[in-house]
Amino acid sequence: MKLTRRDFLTNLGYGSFLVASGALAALFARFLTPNIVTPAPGPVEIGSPDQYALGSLTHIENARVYLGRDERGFYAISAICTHLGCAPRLDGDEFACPCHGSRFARDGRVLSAPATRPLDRVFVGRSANGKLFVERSRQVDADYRLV
Amino acid sequence: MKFWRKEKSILYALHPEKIPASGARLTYTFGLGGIAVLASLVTLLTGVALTFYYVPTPTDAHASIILIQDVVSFGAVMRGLHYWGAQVMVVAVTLHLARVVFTGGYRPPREFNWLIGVALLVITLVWDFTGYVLRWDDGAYWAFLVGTNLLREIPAYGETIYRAIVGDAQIGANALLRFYGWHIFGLTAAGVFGIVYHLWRLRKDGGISRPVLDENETREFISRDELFFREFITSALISAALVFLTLIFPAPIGTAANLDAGVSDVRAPWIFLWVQNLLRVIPPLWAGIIAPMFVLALIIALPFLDRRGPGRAIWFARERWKPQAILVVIAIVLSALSVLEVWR
Ligand code: HEM
Ligand code: FES
Repeated sequence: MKLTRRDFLTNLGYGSFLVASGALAALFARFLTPNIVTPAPGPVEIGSPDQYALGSLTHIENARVYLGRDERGFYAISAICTHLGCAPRLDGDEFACPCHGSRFARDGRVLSAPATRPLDRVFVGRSANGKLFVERSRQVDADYRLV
Repeated sequence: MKFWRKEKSILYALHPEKIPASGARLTYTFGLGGIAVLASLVTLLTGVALTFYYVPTPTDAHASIILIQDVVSFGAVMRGLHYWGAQVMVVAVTLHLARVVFTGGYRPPREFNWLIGVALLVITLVWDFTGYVLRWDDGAYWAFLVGTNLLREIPAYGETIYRAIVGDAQIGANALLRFYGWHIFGLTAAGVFGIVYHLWRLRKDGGISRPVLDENETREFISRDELFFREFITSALISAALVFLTLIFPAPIGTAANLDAGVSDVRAPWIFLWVQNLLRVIPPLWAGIIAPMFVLALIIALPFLDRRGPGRAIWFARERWKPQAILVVIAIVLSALSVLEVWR
């Protein structure tokens, strides 16, 4: 089939319309993707060490962690479910997630699905004034302790 | 000079002079498409009113709804009609889809309108979800959190898609503002355009589907005025039902979202309960992304499993068993999953 000049120009017209539409869609998508995001929360002060008894595990709501203390020191378990981000709560000696029923042991290990990863461990530090703080954006190993 | 003539009103322009009696019969369409249009108009009108009091910020959203509910004159009615209009819209759109499958209304030349219809279903569901998020109460917050975190499960592009939709690295003020923008503007524009296109296309395709006649049968018609009358009665009944629902069952609202404390029980909005339950048992990518996409693809494909032959515009025609069987299976599976979730 021979391409007439008319057909060629028509196709060129449709083609450029298509390309322009694609470019416009890409422009919108890029516009909607932010270049800066809210920074992760910094350290949150959580009181003095003697507020937390040996063997305790305390929910610290504004930091979204559970603060624990054992013979080796202080540690913090993230209260954010590793499945899809809900907030597991201490139910007896286990964490239970209200969204899809994952359960975690007292040390954060997965006891039942759907979660597959243990709860994260979060950094606990002591500031100059002797108070404890946790820093959500800093992850640590399970055997990290603040002594 | 006559100022107003009904023949020149927009309602006349939207209705043909006469339509086949078979298509206008209540037991053919059950008026479901029309009910969806009416419900969307109620939702639209009351939604515009709500914007004058609603504040789309995490600190004030919940309080502004309580204000609408408890202080503003007729606030509870306005919000209730918005809520019930939206619920009726979802139910009517779903049943309308089922009617089209069981009567074979998608047959050529109406497949394109089927596709517009599927787009309208998706728009309705997203519209509903974005509205639910605006409440910013405990239920809405956790549903929002899980729903958006699901996007991150998409391989490779997950985080980018998440940010393009949420507008931040986590949900908060930016996300609420965006969902508000989508809810009152983006989806409203798409929805209104879709509804108008759907109705226009209905007329271009020759009106509501009708059975092929035998030689000795003649087609019966009803007049435009008769059609108006039936639409009027249906609208009056549905409007009364909406008012009744609003007065008896106030639109729900929980306690203000508390991101830190967490809650003991979290339940997705009823249309997504089946996804929530699937998430308990299979990996998030499969339960939250692939499964819904698969159901959607199946629905899109239904008319293409059955193109021609006898059985058009007849309820439950045997010749068209395939699409009907698939729809029944989808309905049973989704309802079973939803009910399992409610039981817990
Ligand atoms: C022009 C159209 C619309 C506007 C301007 C609008 C506006 C609003 C506003 C301001 C709110 C927050 C106030 C509140 O929660 O009471 C809201 C909530 C909501 N909207 Fe819409 N909306 C529109 C259409 C729709 C549609 C079509 C649907 C569903 C199909 C829908 C579903 C919802 C839902 C479920 C809520 C939460 C209801 C509640 O519990 O109050 N909206 N809408
Ligand atoms: S978010 Fe915790 S189980 Fe799904």
